[in-house]
Amino acid sequence: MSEQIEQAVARSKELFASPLCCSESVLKAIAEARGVDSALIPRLATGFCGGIGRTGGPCGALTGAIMGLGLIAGRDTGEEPRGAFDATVQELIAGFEAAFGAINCLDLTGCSLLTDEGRAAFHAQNQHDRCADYVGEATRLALTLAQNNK
Amino acid sequence: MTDRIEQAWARSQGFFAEGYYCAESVLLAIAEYRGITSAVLPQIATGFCSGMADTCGTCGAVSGAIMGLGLINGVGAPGGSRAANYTAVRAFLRAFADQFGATNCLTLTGCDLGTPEGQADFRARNVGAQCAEFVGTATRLALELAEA
Repeated sequence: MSEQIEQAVARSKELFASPLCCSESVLKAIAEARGVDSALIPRLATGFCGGIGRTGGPCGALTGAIMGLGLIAGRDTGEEPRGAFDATVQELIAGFEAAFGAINCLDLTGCSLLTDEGRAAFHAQNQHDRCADYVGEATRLALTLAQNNK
Repeated sequence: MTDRIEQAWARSQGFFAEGYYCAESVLLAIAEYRGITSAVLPQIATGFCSGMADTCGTCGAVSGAIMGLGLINGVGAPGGSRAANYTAVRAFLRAFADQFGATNCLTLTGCDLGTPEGQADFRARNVGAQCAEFVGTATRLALELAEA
């Protein structure tokens, strides 16, 4: 892992320890690592927190990383081909699933964040620490793939 | 539907017809409605198109709308509240699922776009026309909820 990627991984976890959520932390860390400065970041990512508004869907760290890859190699026009980019996103999703066994918030955390019981279990189990690992790994995978696949 | 939302609905389908993909089209139309232009649009949405890059995941029109809601009431600075955004996002997911029965690309299209067979089936049954409906409705629902 290059030093720059290592720094971005640490930064994503630092942001996640601040009031930023999973998807926001990954997107912002990738944007900073790539020198992208936009007033729309991290607000574009807010709705993906907690598996889309805490509904247990796709992991926010993963969706934040998909947005981050978009900053690096997404399309600017409707004419650009997207085959190579899609392949990178597929590698990201497969790599994340290989590392953690699932890509959904509910499967990864075992907690329904929509309920009081689920949120209590999340805190009781220190699940936030595990989510910090998802945040760091998603950041690392995205930046590593972007570097290798360019 | 207000005239302006109807215009955004038509614009999203116009983007989709022009060659932008589902998530890109919805996000561009919502940004335009809000007068937002940025170098990160629509590139930030590309990986969500076709159910997260053909992986049978969340519908790209849905993901584009969630990013669009983020433009409107996402967290701009650390410490900002997410409550309004989460409320809108959940209401959006419910409304979209009520209308189409699902929020997942595979369920909505019936095609596994990760396979050549699924892609051929998508073209043969002209599923793209249905996706244009998902794009337009996602844009409209997100804007109606944001303006509510």
